[in-house]
Formats: sequence, C-alpha cells, structure tokens
Amino acid sequence: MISRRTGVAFSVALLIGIALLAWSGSKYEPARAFSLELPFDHPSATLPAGRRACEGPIQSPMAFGAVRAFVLPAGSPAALEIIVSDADTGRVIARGQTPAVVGFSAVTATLNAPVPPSRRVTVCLIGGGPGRIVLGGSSAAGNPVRLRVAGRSVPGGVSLVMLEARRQSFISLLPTIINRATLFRPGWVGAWTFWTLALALAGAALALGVAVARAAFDEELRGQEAPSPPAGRA
Amino acid sequence: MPLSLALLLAAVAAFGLMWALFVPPFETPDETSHFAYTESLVERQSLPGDSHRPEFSTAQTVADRAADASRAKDFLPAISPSWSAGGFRAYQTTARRGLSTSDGGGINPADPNPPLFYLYSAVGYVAGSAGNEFDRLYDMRIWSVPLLVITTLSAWLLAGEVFGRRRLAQVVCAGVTGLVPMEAFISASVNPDALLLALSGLALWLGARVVLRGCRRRDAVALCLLTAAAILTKATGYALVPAVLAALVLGRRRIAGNEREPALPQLGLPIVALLLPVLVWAAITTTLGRSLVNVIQPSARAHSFSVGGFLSYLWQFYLPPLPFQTPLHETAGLPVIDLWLRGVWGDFGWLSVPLPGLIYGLLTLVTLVVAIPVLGLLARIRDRERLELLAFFAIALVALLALLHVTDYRSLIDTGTALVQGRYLLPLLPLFGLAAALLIHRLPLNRRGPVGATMIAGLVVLQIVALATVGKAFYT
Repeated sequence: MISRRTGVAFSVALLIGIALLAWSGSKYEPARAFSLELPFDHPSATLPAGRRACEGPIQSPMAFGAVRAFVLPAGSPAALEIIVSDADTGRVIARGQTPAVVGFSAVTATLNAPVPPSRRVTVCLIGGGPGRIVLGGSSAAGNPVRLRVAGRSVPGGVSLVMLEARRQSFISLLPTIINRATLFRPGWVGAWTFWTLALALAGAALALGVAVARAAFDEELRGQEAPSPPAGRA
Repeated sequence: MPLSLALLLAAVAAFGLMWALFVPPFETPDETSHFAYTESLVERQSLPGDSHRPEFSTAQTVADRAADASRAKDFLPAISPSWSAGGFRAYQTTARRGLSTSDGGGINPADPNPPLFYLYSAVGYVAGSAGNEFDRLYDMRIWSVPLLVITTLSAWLLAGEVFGRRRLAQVVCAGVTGLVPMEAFISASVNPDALLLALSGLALWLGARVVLRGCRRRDAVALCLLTAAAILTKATGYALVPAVLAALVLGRRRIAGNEREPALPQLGLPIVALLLPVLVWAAITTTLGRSLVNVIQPSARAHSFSVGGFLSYLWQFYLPPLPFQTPLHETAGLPVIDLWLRGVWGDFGWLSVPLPGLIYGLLTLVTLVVAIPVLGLLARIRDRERLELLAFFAIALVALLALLHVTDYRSLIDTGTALVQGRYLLPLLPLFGLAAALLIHRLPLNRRGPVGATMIAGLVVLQIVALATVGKAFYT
C-alpha cells in the first residue's frame, strides 16, 4: 500500500516538475544572433544623461532585433537609449531603450524594427539618465570596430550582443543545442549520443521511482517498528 | 546488491555521463589546469611547475583556442563559445598533423596539488591518447563518473550504518548525495574534487562505523588510509583529520575493557597508515622544492591576521554587517547564501552559469525545511552512543568550515580576493543526505515513502533544470 502511494507520489511530483519545465521551456525569448566577441573586463565609456558612445562599422551576419550591453550605473539608477544606423549613410534603422537598472547588469533594448542581415551598421548608446552609466567592454587592441565617445575616438570597444528579432522557445532550440554540443567532442560523439542519453535519463527517472518504491515496500515489510531505531549495522 | 541500490547507482551514473559529455570542453572550474597537470604526468612523466616551460602544451592551447574555451569562461554572456562545424573540422585537420602534447608542464595554479587524482585521471587520458585533446579530455571526464557512483554508494553505506538496513533512509541519503546537480557536475569533470568527494564519503561512513562498532583494527586502518588518500588528493583532505582522530578515540572507548587491546598496537598501525603516505609526499615535495599545500602569495597591501578581524569576517559571512563593522563585500549578497547555498546546489561553468533566481529561492526554502527540524531532532538526543556519533559529524563539519574560513580570510587580507566556493563544502554532502533521511525516518510510517519519493523526484527535475541552464548558457 505504502509502496503504491510512494510510486504515485513520485510519478505525480515528477510529472508536475516536467510540466513546469515544459511550460518554462516553451516561453519565447530572443536567442543570440551574434556578438562582437569582446569581453566586458574594462570600463569602455562613462555616459552621463545625453552623452553618446558609437561603435561601428559592424557587419551584421544575420538579422537582429535587440541589443544587449553590460552596464554599471554609477550611484543612481540609469538607462540606455540605443540607436542603430547605417554606417555609410547615417540613416537610422532602428532604436530602442533599456530599463533603468541598479548595479552591474546585462541590459537588453528591444529595437522598434529589425536590422536586416549583411548591413554595415553603427550602434550608438546614449545615456538615458537619470544617473551616469558605465559601459563594460574591452581595452584589447585589434578590435576592428571603432569606438567614439562624445565624438572622440577611444581605444578598445564596448561589449555588445545582438539578439534575433524572431523569438524562439528553448524547446524549439533543443536540436540546435544538441548539434552544437556534438562539436569539440570525441569522434564517436554525435547527436545520437545525446538523444540516447536523454532516453537513458528517462530510464534513470523510472529506475529511481522503482528504487524508492521498492525501498518503501521494504519499510512497509518492517511493519510498525519503533520510529527511532537503535544505532544499526549496515 | 539490493535492487534499490543497483537502480539508484545506475540512475546516478546515467546523469553523470550526461554531465560529462554535455558540458563544453574546459568549462568546469580550473579544468584547463587539472587537464594540463595530468598531461604533464603522462607525457613528460613529471609534475608541472617548471618555470621555464609554458603552462599548457601546444595541443591544449590549440584545442582551447579552437573551442574559445578560455575566452568564454569569464564572459560567457558576451562571448559565444565556438560552435562552428567548420572550425571543428579545421581543428581536427590541424590536430591530425600532430601537435605536441609534451611541451607544457609550466607553472600551473593546480601544481601544488598532490598527484593522486591526476594519477587516477591519467587512465582516462591514456584511453584517449590515440585521438586529439578532446578525446583525451572527455575520456578523463567519463573516467571520473565512477567516482560519482562511489560517492553515492558511500552515502548509502553511511545511512545503513546510522539507521540500520532501512532502505528508504538509505535511498534518500544516497539519492540526495548523488543527485544534487553540483555534485554530479563536479564529479563528472576533470577535477580532484571528484576523488576527494568519494574519499570523504567513504571516510564519513567508516568513521561512523568505527564510532558505533568500536575501533576494530581493519576498519581503523582503512579509515586512516582513506584519509591519507584524501590528503594526497587535495589539501582540503586535512580537514578530515580531527574527525578521524576523534572517531579512533571514541571507537576505542566503545570496545569493552577486557576486549580492548593496548593503545599502541590498536592505534599505532592506523596512525602509521595515516602518516606514512603523507610524510612520504612531504619528503618528495621537500626534495623537489615544491610547496606541500597551496600557498597564498600576499600582495604589497596585505594586512596581518587579527582575531578581531577574523571574527568580523565570520559574522559578515553569515549575517548582515553591524554598523560599526568595516564591510567586507565578499559577495554582492550574504556570502552564506551566495557561496555556500548557491554553490552547493549548483553554479556551473567556471561558476559563471547560475541556476535561475527563482530556483535558488526554492532551494533555500528546501534547505531550511530540512535543516531546521533536523536541528530540533538532534538537540533532543540524549543517548550517549548517538551523541558520540553526532560529535564525530560535528567535528568533521567544524574542521572543514574552520579550514575554509581561515584560508578565505587570509586570502581576503593578503590579496583582497575571496577564495572559498560552495563546492568546497561538497565533501560533507552525505551529511545533508543523512539529515534528509533522518527527517523522513521520523515521519509516520505511511508518509515516509511519499515524502522520500517527492524528494527524489524533485532532484530529478532539478537535474534537468541544471542541464537545461547549462545548455542555454553555452549553446544558444
């Protein structure tokens, strides 16, 4: 009886957990399109409200609809306005605004229009106030993208990540994740390995359910023993 | 072997294998250094630390660059680790031409570590030696998975020693130990912690056995050998020594006076088993001019150790700072939450891939729900045998915490940077499993199975959340 209730409790708890995971994994979020591959180990620019830092030209290998930056507001909460323009003509393609944050954060501005692929663009970040905001980036030489702060050329660059315009769920990304996980692995590892392991994990969950139900059955067999047994022997 | 145990170990091994293969190369704490240590042992038959050589071999450097591993480790949100199939093929072509695996062996953050884990890991390295660095790395990781299984088994044995053959208590204790995601993540990586966790688990089991059954020579020698092996794996192993000595003394008292051997023959052999391997290693390090344990190099702005400062540090680790204290800011929040709690449950990559904040909130709640009633139960123990067992566990806990806190404080005052991580508490995870088992054991009979089942199912879900978190961080 107890072992049956144990099995039911295990199955219900597992199913509830998996249902919550499936719900969470089906939420649509913007995936990473590409990044400038710059670490954020250096304060690249400090922007009071209204000051502008522009980075470009950036060749966009694929379309993007949001821009993420790594910021540290200095003292009071601060936001960023982001404008993406054509690097050659200066025409504004899209713009967006991040929420005001406190403390070191990765902030994302969703653009009001997607930026098409294969474009040379400039991304400008403008202090949105009320506080000053420090942009995380890299001082590394050799960055092909030029950074200008308040019109003056500055060494290094601001670390930026471009996110896809199209939102995707985690579940829809699973095949991509598995394919990427097969790279830089031993030669015998392929997508099949991870799908097989996923099946093995399903079997592992089942095995754990049986293990705990069997243990509860053993407990049941011991009957109504004293709740506090003496120190035992394994 | 009991069916429950066989199924549990098989399930833990399956999760371990997934962790070993799914985590990107060199994206576990200090894996680059631990891999380089083993590579130096196998390829040069020499310990690393030669100041005239590069830290990594050419083969490792090329592999690391191809996968963008080192660049991504600290700045994962901004750096995409390479997942270009073309990049991987180009790496394979380069690797087939032959890259030196023996030109590393330079100064390495891991080189003060004793060699025991690296000798174990060398088996995995050699198994992959026909391939490239990724073959070797992943073979080493897979070879670490049995250590996770041993750690889980040790928790089963520990619960058996404490509760008797109560399978439910054993399943819960072993399940909690083997299925906490951080335990699986670390045990399935190239890291001496994997071996330390297995040895510590076995030492806790044998220590409990000695305390409860008496200091039989065979058990005592095995306990001391395990402790010596832990010390030869990582300096944190020294934290086991006070508890092991306490177990020997308590175990000796357990044996009736007429059966008790004289102290010297009874304790002499175990003490020799503990000391001899450590002294041999100490002699080797002295001969080679190496340090016996990791040494913190003080900066020019180092402060001297003060008891008041240390107490203030301890207070601020566990509680908010008082108005008159100089804030230490070891972490953004309370270190006990940010380091101990989050770090024990799960913080992946190079501790740069945390679980979602909501999950940590739930896990804090779960930890308190287990810990608070268990503390209440422990406070009511009056039985001498149980109190002695409790003393053994308490000494193990306090010794590890003391070692970690003193080292962390020294690091803070000497270099300004914190040193402790939550994973350093994992050797005591079987005790948390034991606490969960005790809680289950004190429930009415008809509730034990369902509550234990809910715990284990919750851990399975947590494993999936953790794997998904890693997948999202590295591969999307």
